[in-house]
Order: sequence, then C-alpha cells, then structure tokens
Amino acid sequence: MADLSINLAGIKSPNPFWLASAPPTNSGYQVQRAFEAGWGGAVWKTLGEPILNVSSRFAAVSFNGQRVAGFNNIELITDRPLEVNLKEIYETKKRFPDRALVASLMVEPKREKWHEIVKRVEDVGVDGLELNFGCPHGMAERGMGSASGQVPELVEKQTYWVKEVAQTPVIVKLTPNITDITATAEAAVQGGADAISMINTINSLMGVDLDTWNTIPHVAGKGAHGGYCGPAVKPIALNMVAECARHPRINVPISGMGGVSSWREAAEFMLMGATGVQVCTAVMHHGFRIIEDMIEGLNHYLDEKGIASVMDLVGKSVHKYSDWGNLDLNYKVAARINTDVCINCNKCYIACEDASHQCIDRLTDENGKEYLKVREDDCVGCNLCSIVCPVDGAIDMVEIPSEHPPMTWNERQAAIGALASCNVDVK
Amino acid sequence: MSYQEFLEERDQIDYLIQQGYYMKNVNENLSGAFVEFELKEPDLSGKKSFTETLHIKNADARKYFSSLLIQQMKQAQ
Repeated sequence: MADLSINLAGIKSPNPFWLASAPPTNSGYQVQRAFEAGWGGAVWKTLGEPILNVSSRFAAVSFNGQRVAGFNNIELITDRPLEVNLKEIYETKKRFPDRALVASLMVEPKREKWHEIVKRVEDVGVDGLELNFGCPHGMAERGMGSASGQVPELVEKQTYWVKEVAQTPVIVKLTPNITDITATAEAAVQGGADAISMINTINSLMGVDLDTWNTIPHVAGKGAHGGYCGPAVKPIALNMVAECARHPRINVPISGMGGVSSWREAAEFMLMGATGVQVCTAVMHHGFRIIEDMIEGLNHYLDEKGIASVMDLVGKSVHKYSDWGNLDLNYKVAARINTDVCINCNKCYIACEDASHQCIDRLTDENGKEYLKVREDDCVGCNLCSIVCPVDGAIDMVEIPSEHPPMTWNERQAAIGALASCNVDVK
Repeated sequence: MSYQEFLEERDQIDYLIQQGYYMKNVNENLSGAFVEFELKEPDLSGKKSFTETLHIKNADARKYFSSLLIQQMKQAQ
C-alpha cells in the first residue's frame, strides 16, 4: 500500500482527496460523515455575512445517458451565522484531528473585514484558509468572489491583508472566468499566498425550456447565470492547473479541482502539478462513499507503478506540457484500421470524408466483403476516426518514423529568420 | 491528392539541391512559401541560372524544406 498522505503548504491530510467548499461541506453533520467515510480533508462552505438564497438552485446537463455530465448552481455562500459554523468547525476538528479542515472565506474587499474573519476563524482551530475569489454568481454582483478574483490588483491586495494576520496557510481560490488565470495566480503569489486552488465554477446558463421559454433553472420565471462544474469542465480545469504549474513565477503548491470524479482525474491533476484535489459534483451525484473507490483505485495505481508515495506523482507531467511552438512538426501518427475488429459501421469513413482529410477508402475484397483502409500517406494523424469509432481496438493510431530530426515551429521560424537577416553563412 | 502534391514539390526541392543550389531566402505569405535558391558555385557552362525560386504550397513540403534548411544551416556552422 502506497503512502497517500499529502502536505499542501503545511496542511497535512491522510489522502489527497478533499471536499471542495460547496453544499456537501455546509455543516458539521455533513463534514463529519464525510470524514467517517474516509475523506482526507474538507474546505468548509464559504463563510461570510450570511446570505439569502433563492429556491430552485441547481441544474445539470445529461448527455447521451450520462447523468450530470455538467452541473450548474446559483447557490451562494453559507446562509448560517458565523458562530454556528465556527462551533461546528471546532467540534469537527476535535473529532477528526488528523483530517485537513480548511475554512473558505469571503468578505467585502476591505482590510478590517478580512482581519476580523481571519482571526475569528483561526480561533477555532482550522488548518488553513481558502480565500474565495472565484464564486461567479450573486456575490460577484456585490464586489466579492469572482468580481475580486478577476482583478489581479484586488487579488494581491486582499491576499496581503489576510497574510498580515493569518497564522495558518492561506490558499487563494481562483476563478476560471478570466482570459489568463496565471495573471491572478501570480498576483496571489505576490500577495503572499501559501498555495492556490483552482478552478472555481464557470459562468453558465444551462438551457432554455422550449415550452415555457424560461431559463433552466428559473426562479419565478427569471434566471441568472450560474457556476458550471462537473465532469465536463475537467479539461478546462486541468489546463489551468498545468499553466500555473509550469509558470516560472507561480511557485506555490496547487490544490486542483474541476471535474474530479474518480482517482483517475486525481492522478491526472497531480501529475500536472496539483498537490491534492478537491471534489464536489461527484459527491453531489453519488454521495460521500465514492471516496472508498477513489482511495482504493489510487492505491492500486501507485502499487502498479511501484510508487511509494502519492506525493511522488506531483508535477511529473508538467515538463511535458509546453507551448504549441515547441511541438515537433516532424512527428507523425497515422490511423490503421484493424479489419478483424472493425464492424464496418463507416463512422470513421464519414468523419474523415466530411470533417477531415478524405484518406479512408471503402474497398471490397476478392470475396465481395467490404472493408475500410486508410491511405497512410494522406493521413494527417488527426485522430478523428479513432475518436468516433465505437469499437475499442478497431483503429490504432501508429507512429510513423520520420526521416528528419525533430523540428519545432519556433526552430523553423528562427532558421528562416536567420536566413532573412543574413546572420548565417549557409553556403 | 495531398500526398501527390507533396511528392511533386519535394522532388522539385531535391532536384535543385542535387544541382548544387542552396536555400538563400524564404518568403512566406498567404499563397504559401517562396523559397529562393542560389547556386553554391557559378555554373561556368551557363546552363543553370544563378538563382531559382520555388513556390511551395503543400504543408508537408513546407515542413520538408524547413527540415532541409535547418540541416543546411547546421552543416554550414
């Protein structure tokens, strides 16, 4: 059994799976049941001045039979008084001293407001603080959440105010509703953040009811944008984690989240630089006990790989992520159809013919049997045929050895530029 | 046929290289790449023009001459 414990900026937990600040961490009852199930940590639902919520708050995208492929909410931060939350946080930490208990915080961008809440929350024994600069709905209209999180100067300033008084590690949670998340991540680091977490939810409108023409969800016939999360957002979140992880001036640990539904996504986030992950939608869909499979799956994966500690995964794929200009233009893959496995559904043929490079031929053998064959010389290796193929193993993408050494776009442009400026005698 | 286009343009490039030309300059625009070749040594017989220009349109052929260009520059160093 591998060691699953992590240490994120000094916050220790027995495994890398934390509950994200969200409805599953609304109360002591819930968080304690989560810890009983095996969760390594929890970020308490955001504390601040208690809010008023609307009824009809959640909606989900179900796609081709996959329930909750994406999830949307317009629920705000805690609607309970701070004292109530603090009492339950204290009791929870006392019962589960080995788990990471982090308090998510959100107040107006005023120094005294941050000082007050930090001191009061730390008094009950939390292991760390997470500043919510990400919530995109409701609170943002009041200048908090993503409204703060989209302005690097506000991120830096508020992080600095928190660090003036904080005794525990400070995690800054970032919004994805920004062109370049590394700008705000760097601002958090400048402000003294001990770690960053991402992503919060993405601005979204789930749909329009075609009978009533109401938004989904709607509140008495009116809607407002919500925050999108769940499996559908994972690629977006993973890219943002990776972009921060490879940024030379963002040198703090990352808590990754956004579509983590199993141990697999957790391992991916950690390989791309996250020290641990946070989970919400999967728990809202399936309940706390998914943690059992997550722990078991991650353990098996590490054992199979011969890795003693999950911390040894952290960042191992970051160096493999770069800019497009650094990719090898001479690398080539081509599709190969295994006729023994292919069911001749023609999905690949249609995809290639209509949407790619027309390099699959429909042929007939000497027995009159139809089969599909790729003209490898014309195949650009786009992968589309293997993506749309419904049969595992029917199409392989195989590497075609290049007669030339690797050449990136950047190297190519440098060579052409050197010619133009006569920097090199090329005779 | 994309691959056929590549073969034709690759052969044009290879032919000039075999004839003693090297790549002198590359201009790229909306129409593709215009690769200017120049003879390494003047042709005393006068059969070869001192410069030649190829209009390379095919994407793989543009990769091809780029690889040769990098190779040419490495050999010159």
